[in-house]
Amino acid sequence: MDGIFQQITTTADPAAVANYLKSLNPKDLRDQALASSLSSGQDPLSILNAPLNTLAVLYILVARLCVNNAPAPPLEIIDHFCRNFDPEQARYAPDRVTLLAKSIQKLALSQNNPRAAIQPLYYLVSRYPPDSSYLTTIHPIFTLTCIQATHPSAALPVLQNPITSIDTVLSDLNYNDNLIYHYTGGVLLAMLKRWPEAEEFFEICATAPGSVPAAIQMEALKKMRLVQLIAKGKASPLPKYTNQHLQRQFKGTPYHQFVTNYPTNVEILKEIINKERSLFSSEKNLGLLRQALDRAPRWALKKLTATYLSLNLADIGKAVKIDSEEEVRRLLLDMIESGDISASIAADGSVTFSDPAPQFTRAQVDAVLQNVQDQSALLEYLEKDMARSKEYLSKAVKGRGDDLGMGFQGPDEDIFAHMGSGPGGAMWADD
Amino acid sequence: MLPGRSHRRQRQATQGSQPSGNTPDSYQLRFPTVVDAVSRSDYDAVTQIAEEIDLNAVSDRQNSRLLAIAPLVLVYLIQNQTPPARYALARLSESHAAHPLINLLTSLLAFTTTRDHRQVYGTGEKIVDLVSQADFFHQEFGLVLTKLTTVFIEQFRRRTFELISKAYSSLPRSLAEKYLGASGEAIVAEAAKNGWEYDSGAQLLKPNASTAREERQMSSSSLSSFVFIANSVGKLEA
Repeated sequence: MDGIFQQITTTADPAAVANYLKSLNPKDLRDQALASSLSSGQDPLSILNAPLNTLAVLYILVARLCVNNAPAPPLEIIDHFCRNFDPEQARYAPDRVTLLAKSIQKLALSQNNPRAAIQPLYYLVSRYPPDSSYLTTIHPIFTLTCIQATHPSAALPVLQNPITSIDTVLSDLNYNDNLIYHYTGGVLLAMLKRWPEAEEFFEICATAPGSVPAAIQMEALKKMRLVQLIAKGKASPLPKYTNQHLQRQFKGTPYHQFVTNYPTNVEILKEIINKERSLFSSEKNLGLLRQALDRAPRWALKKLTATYLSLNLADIGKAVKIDSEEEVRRLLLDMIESGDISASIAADGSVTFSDPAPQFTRAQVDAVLQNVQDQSALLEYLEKDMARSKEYLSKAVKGRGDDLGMGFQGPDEDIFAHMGSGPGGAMWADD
Repeated sequence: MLPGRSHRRQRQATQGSQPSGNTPDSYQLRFPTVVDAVSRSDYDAVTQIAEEIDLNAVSDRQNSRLLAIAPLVLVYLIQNQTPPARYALARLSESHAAHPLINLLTSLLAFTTTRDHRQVYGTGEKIVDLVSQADFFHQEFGLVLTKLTTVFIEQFRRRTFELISKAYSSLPRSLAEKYLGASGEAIVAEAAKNGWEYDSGAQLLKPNASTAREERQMSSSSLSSFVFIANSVGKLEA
């Protein structure tokens, strides 16, 4: 350990430190050495400085957390590192950062206190990437920890930043990291009843491209459908790029039956829940199903507004199958408050429906316009960035090359010979 | 659970609320920052501070944890955010959950979620009664909770008033009393200030729909709006 310590504290270049630590072999002896104290008995962590010696502290912390029988560092020290490390240095060892995140989660769980991992992981996930649009291996670990700690609001500052960038040099990502992050993010948003955002996260998971759908994508699709029923009263069509196998498999599940009978056939919905209770419970969807069932009268009432100009409370109760007039009033007030309907209740119990009056301010219009412009600018940037990529260019050129080959093979080759200066003739005219 | 055992647990939860040992824990050390934020009515700060205290605490078994969680729940209710309030209570241990204060907060949350107006006002009064007692374990904490509960009840009443302005063309005075948890005279007086009509014979109130917050009137243009629109048009032309 003394030799390693000497090397890492006297080398200024972080790349050199990273290469040195990576190249130490065998790896298990390296980690055992890093987990030990100095020959003087001092703890190297008490001498090293997190911002200046980020790589060294990172390797030592991971070694202490992963090596068997090594004394785990207190969470306060780990937390201090996560708040103060130098991200640029840490990016030389993305695998260590992943290991650190996993070990923090594991340590907190072993102490029966998953909440203790939230802050260190939050600082790690927000400080490590160059900006919040990058997905890292820390993201799914962080969101999973928030679920384990029953602390959905702690995840909001991270979930509010959409992921638009992937860099496998920055983080040793695999395909599942994207799926798990968006699935667990959807669960956290659903816990907070932020339905539109939850739906978006589940959709990203369910529609992620792949030759064969992953099991988690089916779970995301089930939750997405339930969230759509809760928020909108109906399921929305899936994007065209959704895997067809996934949609076919979903049709064979009791969830599809539930969606099909929603919201009017309340008795059938209750039957489905009772019959498949153990399945729904094991898949952790019973809560969402109950919420959807509780909100079924709401959507049935909303359908009435398309047909009737006014009704009285008793008639509404009969139509939506609520016996108590008090409950009908409560439902109406709730729907008026949330903007689902526009209605006016009179003292005699009659309810008059109307079209909702537009309510917006200039500031809201400006904000929407600004948001649209920002999104357009981002899309334009992403499109140009993709068009510069080697994969896209090679596929585009290959595609055009195939078209050229076909053009010269047929009897029309004389036509192509007279057109334009390029080999493709008219095909290149628009470029 | 036997009633006697439950009663003994509740008594222990109230009596055993004094922190063990002489060294203040992180909840007690940081409680003054919560008090300061409440005194400034900076509820976003209360949320941030209370969440941070709870996340950083080493242990979650001590009763001083209520110093962070109870204000947090009330502030979430003030901000009309019931889901995070629910999870803040769900994270408490069984012994905390048995505390009379937590029982009342759990009930308040449930009644607020189901919009059981009468019970909301009643439970708010019970909370204030509990924390105002001379033997309440922490006087300053009691004052903080009294303020937050009072603010919440006022906000809840105000939101309900705006809702019934929007939702009702006419309603009986008795129904308004139930919604607003106030006497008929007070409601009639407040209603008059907001342009409502009152038919004393039929005891019917007629809300004025324009008292609901609607900002249809467009504000006048400004230089910043002009620059924004000019840039937007420029980008369209590009």
